[in-house]
Amino acid sequence: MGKTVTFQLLREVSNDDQAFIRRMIDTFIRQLNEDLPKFKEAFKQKDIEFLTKICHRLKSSLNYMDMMAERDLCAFLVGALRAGHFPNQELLQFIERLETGKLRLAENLKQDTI
Amino acid sequence: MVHGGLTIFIVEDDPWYGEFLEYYLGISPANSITKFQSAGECLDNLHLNPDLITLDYRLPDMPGSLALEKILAYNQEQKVIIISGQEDIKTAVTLLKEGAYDYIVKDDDTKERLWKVINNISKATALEKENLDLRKQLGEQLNPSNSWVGQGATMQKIAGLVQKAADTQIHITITGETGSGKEMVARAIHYRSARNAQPFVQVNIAGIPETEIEEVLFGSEKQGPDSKSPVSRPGLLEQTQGGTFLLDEVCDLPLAIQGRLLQAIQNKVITRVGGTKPIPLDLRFLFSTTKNLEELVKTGAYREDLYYSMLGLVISLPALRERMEDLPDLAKFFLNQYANQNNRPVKTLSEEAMAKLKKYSFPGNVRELKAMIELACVVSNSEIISDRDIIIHKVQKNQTGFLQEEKRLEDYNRDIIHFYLNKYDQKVLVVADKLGISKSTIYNMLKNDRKKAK
Repeated sequence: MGKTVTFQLLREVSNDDQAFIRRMIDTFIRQLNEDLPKFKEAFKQKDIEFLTKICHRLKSSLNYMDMMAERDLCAFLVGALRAGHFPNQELLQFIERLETGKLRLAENLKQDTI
Repeated sequence: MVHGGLTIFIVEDDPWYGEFLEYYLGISPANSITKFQSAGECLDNLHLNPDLITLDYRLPDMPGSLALEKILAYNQEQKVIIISGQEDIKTAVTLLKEGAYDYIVKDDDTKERLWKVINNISKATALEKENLDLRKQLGEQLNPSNSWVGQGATMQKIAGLVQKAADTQIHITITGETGSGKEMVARAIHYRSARNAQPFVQVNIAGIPETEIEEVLFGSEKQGPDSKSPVSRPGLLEQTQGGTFLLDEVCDLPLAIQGRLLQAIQNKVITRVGGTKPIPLDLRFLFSTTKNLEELVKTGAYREDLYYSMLGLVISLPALRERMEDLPDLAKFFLNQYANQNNRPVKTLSEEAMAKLKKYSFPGNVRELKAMIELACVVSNSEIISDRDIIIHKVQKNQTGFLQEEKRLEDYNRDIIHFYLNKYDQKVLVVADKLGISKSTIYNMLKNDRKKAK
């Protein structure tokens, strides 16, 4: 949780508009709160279509949330799922990283370290 | 954004990315943005005519390609930017071929790319809107109720004829003295007709050297300087394809070219001077003349077959002195027009100034009145124009246009009596007194006029 997050892309886009950056982080967290339980359920059900859809959707926002490792993993998952594979280990890893990332972002918001 | 705001629809099922786009595109406060999470919601709102739609390629209810197809089916001109989560050149090419304005991938460069595209659209939209506004303004200006002023019966009748002319494809001949508004009538017919999006081309025969008229109208095919390839020059008739062609002062068309014009009117086909290839014509002819074509036919200066071929509906514009009842409205119209065009307060005419105008015969017709009012606005130092500001430039011809054409004495008498009747509010007794004739002479003349009109 000690990673320094700069939100460089969001700062660039908004000319360092703090309110905007906080709003986008908040929206991302809320979205993860909705998506993660569904994602876990889809993982259990091996629902490739749904998993692909969520991964595809998360890819661009992960980029702006400074979650580059997660974005790369997400890109890999999209490719693998579209090819009909079910990369069990990587999906579990992705879920775990999203949980961690979500907590880190929430901490950033709480401690006003943006 | 410097070019004014756009109405933008964002179609994005990812709430985070939708919010991101909304913020980014909303940096320009002039933009008006509406977000939709599905293609269906967007399709239901196309009647709001957005300037731009950003469409996520993967939507929950239908693929982006189908959404694009449905949007373009509603409005072929709709600008749609596809925003895709991944770069897929094949899909991008297909979508662009199918009518997408651009294809942008969600990555680090999205914002720059999007900004450039939106800036281009904004410029193009501003130009389109300007163009549309200008067309609208032009249409308004050429609306008979706005452009040629006059509540008198004659002008109301002419307004009706213009509408009829615009609604049909019949040839129109517009007659009237110089300055009486023939060109304005021709333009009004064009802009109110189904050909209004096509060119309106006008040529004044009297203004072209006789030796060049044929090439100007029909174009030419000449051997180039290297004697190998011909140099082709399309004429004005070809340049009018689809539109309306006004042949101004057709009365001055040399006899030698009248035959070619007749063929063009009848067969709707021309060949360029020096050429052999027939060129089909799709245009509408309007003619205007200050001379009496019937008289020219009688003297042999004008071909009878051409005369009958082009005749169609004749719109005869009265001289201003024959409709002096419209003078106050016309003067007011030109006073307002001058003020609007020069960003000045609107001036008014004093009673004396109006009286001076009413006494004048206006050989230059409405054009002369307009010039006179504009000059008065310039020279007048107050908001009320006095009679001293009304400057009459007397041309040493004859003021009422008399003897500019051959007429019977009876017709001259009629012109004189009508001039006085208009001037004195149709008061027969006053006119009889002024002219030193009996009132029965005037009544008989009016009676005969009515009979002829029937």
